[in-house]
Amino acid sequence: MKLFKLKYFFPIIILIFTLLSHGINLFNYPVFLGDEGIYSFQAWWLVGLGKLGPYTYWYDHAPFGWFLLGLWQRLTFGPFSFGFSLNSGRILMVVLASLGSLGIYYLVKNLTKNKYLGLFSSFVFAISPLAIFYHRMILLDNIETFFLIFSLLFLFKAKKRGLYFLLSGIFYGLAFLSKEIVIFLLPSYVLALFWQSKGKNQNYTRFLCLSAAFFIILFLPLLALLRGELFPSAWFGGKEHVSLIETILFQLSRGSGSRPWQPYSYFSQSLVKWLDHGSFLFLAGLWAMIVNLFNFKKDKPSFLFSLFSLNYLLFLARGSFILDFYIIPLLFFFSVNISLALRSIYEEFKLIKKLKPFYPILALVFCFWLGYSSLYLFTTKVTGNQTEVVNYIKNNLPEESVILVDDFAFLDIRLKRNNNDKAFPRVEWYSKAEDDPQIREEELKNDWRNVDFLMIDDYIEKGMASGKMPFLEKVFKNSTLVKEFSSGEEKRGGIRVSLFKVDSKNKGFEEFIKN
Amino acid sequence: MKLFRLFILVICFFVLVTSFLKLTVVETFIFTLSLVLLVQGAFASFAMLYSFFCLGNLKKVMPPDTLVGSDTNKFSLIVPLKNEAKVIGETLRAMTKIKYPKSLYEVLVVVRVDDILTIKAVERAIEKMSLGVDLPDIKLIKIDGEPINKAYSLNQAFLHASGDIISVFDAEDSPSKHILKAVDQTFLQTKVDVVQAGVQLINVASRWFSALNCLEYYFWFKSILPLMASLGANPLGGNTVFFKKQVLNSIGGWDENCLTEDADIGIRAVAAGFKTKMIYLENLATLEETPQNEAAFIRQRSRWDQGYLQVLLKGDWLKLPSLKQQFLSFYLLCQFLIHQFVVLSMISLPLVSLVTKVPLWLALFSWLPAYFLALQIGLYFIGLADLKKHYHLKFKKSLYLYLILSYIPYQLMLSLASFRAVFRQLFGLLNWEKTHHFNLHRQLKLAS
Repeated sequence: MKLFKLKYFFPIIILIFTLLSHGINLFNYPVFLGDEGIYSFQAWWLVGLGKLGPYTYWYDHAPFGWFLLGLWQRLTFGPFSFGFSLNSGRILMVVLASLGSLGIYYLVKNLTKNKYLGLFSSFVFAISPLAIFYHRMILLDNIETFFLIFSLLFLFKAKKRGLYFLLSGIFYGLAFLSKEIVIFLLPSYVLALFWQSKGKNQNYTRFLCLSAAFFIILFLPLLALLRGELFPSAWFGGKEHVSLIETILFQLSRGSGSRPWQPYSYFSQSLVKWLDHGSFLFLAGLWAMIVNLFNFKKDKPSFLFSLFSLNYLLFLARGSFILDFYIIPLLFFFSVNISLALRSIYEEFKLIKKLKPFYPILALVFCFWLGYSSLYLFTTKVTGNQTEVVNYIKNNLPEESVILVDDFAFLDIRLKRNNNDKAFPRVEWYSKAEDDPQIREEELKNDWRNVDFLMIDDYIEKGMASGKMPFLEKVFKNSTLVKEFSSGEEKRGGIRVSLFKVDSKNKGFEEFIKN
Repeated sequence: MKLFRLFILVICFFVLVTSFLKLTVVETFIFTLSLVLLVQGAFASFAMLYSFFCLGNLKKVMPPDTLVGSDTNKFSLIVPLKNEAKVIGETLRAMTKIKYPKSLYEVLVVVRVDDILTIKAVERAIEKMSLGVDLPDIKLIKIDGEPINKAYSLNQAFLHASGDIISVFDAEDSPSKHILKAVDQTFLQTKVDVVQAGVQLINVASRWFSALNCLEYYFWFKSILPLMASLGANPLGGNTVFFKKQVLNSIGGWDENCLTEDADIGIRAVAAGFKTKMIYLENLATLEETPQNEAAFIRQRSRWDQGYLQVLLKGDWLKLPSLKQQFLSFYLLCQFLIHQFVVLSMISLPLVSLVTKVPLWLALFSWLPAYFLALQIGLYFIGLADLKKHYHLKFKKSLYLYLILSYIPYQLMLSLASFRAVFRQLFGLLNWEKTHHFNLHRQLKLAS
């Protein structure tokens, strides 16, 4: 019983628990996503090699998330210290999720003055299958959410203290520089700031917070300005180049403008995936959000957190382009909302108060159920095909080969993983071979015959099927299958990967379809 | 010696870092300057924000509850004058309105014997006020001799002072009605020997530089001085400052060879082990006016800067007990030299990084200090709104815009004053350049 009174007992439990729930089977599940590869090689290029990336940096994201990941890779003696390059980044994601979980504990504890509710929120965040699935992936959204958690932790802890407001602003700015979609939360953030800072020094603390956040945010346009890439080249003439403004306009224009309830909309497609990965956190979070929305008069922090959720949900459902992992910040809001809603229900209904002696049992049963529904995350292996294809290329292909690969494999193939390893300086990411004029026109001379090998997986297949990759299709149609990597993982959520050799016999396509 | 060792340590660390980063000479210069600006900007901004940083700090600068104790200390308010016939009448009238037992404070008006107009104005004012029922003891002290400056006048007046607490006010000051009660309670309820209360220029819209000048005072008295006092280094202001009599007896009064006798006496008092406290509450601040024009402003600022330089060269700050106090005092005394350089560098350095070829990280780094510049301008903005609210000032909203537009010219004017101060010191020009007063702060239309 004494242990429970120790100040650090719960935080340590949370850290260990999150490290375990996220860390067990980390390298095997889920499948390595292309974006994980992009962020990993961008990170290493930035910190390890001192460049913004192997390809033209087009301001798709602000580089702070990559910087942090690169720093981690550097501090852990390179990206290959844990085997496959993506393993390293995934470990960082687990560390961030664990610290984030701790942040949630302190946040909820601070809001409710109840450490058990803090513990509960942290557990929901740490053990929900939906959360574990996305938290394990190397995604900028995870880094952004980490900073967002601490930004809100300090904001709600501030109580008119300038230092906390300053820290909140700094973390909000860093969240933006990790992934810029956090800007869509600005209305809720500003409202929370105004409510939290009421007092004699309110103008100063508000200004301190917002100025710190905006100054950090302004580093992205400043970076573009210093590189001469802020304005589109069409505006002032001169040599054609990428531009931040152009990218922002492009990003804003992405998407069909469909209604969220329409089955082909980005939102409903993502919703299917979210519910598939574990419906509890999403549905319970929605319920809690609605409960807390009604707490407007009674409990402002609860209302504010429901507003954060609603604000982000509206962003997701707005009809423009989103990917399923954009849900990550919402998982944090939902975890906090659930505890806040439980508290208000507890205070509202007498019957629930009578059940108090059973709370520990109920909590245990709940955690057991949640843990049980997450079991597959700790046992399923789905990354074997992906690591095998990399090993095969490394062991069997000549180093000077021109290989087009999916981005998850880029870093491992391009660089030497150890002294006895081969490096493939002419390996290219398939998407750049298709879209980047510097690669397609200058390196490959717009001729499929200049490609030696082609890696195909489910993602590349989909891309070609959409008809938006004519060059890659040409390469593919003029290649023959070398080896297919299919160990049955595909049935459990893995992907099939194949390696093709390019020749002029024009039979690759038929062979692939046959298999 | 300790300071020197610290300096060497910093240099070694710096050489190590720059060699690790493999910087060229130009890059090293930009890196160094950015780093210095960053540290200076962060500290200066923190100093401006200190009292607003949390409500606890804001409470610290408030005087104790004046209703608690009974009035005990007797005050001697010294008002040194030179050519102040225009303003002294109203100043004396304001002093008689102070809500404190009249038997417990006296006003010592110090005038040079040859300043006939001022003497007449004082006599006239006393005569007029004598019609009133309850007046404090107002003594007119006519002095002669050299040097002709404020410190000499103060020392002469001190010889006639009968109070337990000696205070200084300037010719154009409008002291608060509650100031003596608040200071009396501060002395009673806290163990301090010197109390500095707020001084505020309020004619924000008189000239293009007035708003910035007023805001400098606002942040100086409300935030920067309290921070310095809490860190153990306190240069004090020129008026609305209150000394226990034994402090002045112990340190030998004001230095008559110094142009900023206030900064000097503050450092000597702390070095002698006396404790100082800052109190600031808007309705306790003594109201003053900004200089009438640019030339007067530059003359006044040059005198202050030259005075700081004198105090620096005099070296009393080295007698402060701790390294921290010495360093802070050194920093404050050099502030006038580095401030303008810093502000102008904060603006020019990022522009340099735009036009020269330096590594991208260094270019980004050189922009970091600009944040503090923007922060300070933003704080001035909020400060102006504060002044408007607390002092019921009336001015056009466009003043906020002028505030931003006048920021750089104001810095240039400060730079000019600094150069002039150094020039005067180098060429031994030590005469007291008086600032003339015109009652601008008393002619303001205040909001009801």
